[in-house]
Amino acid sequence: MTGTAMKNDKKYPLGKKERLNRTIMIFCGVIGVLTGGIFAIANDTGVENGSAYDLFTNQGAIPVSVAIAFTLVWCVIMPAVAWIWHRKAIDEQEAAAYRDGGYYSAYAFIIITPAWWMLWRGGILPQPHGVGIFLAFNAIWLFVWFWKKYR
Amino acid sequence: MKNQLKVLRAMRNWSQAELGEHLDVSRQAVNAIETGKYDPSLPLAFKISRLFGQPIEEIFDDGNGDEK
Repeated sequence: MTGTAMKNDKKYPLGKKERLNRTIMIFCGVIGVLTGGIFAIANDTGVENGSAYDLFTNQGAIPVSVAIAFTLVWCVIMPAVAWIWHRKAIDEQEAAAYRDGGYYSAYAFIIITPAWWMLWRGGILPQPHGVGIFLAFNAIWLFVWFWKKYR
Repeated sequence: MKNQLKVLRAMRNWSQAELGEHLDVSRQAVNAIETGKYDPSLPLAFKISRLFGQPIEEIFDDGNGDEK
């Protein structure tokens, strides 16, 4: 709540778009927690020398069923939810905030990845870490998106 | 961009959320427009103009009003 609101906005119900927006966010959070839980269980019980953190590494095998299920979620469900989110749940201000997040993270990716690769080739840094770069890309996008939306 | 949205909203005693409902945008979007952190698209500016019954140029000021 900012000081510019003149009435108590908390008493006013969320609009249809905002309700759908929050529902999708909660759905994505639940999917994320479930996916993490499945990874943790599968890796702790199904694979020799596996660990619950293998999702965030370049090493360690994961069960083929978990790999296929995760790929389906990421390549089918996630794009479908994203399409609904973009079409039905967000307004133009959030769309702009989301686009700005994309610009910032894309430039970070374009700058950091080749620099890290060159410094690795020069023997200064360890080999570039694909998952780490992916997570950083998403973290920057998320930070800018929320900063632009709620600042 | 400076604008009169906060004043116009106050005249109708609407909260940011209520105005957002009228415009089909979020409370955060109304706040961002009022504080000049986000400039609305032309379709949204027209919607605001129609809602308050005032021309766009009386609601929004791009700082170049005296240019010929």
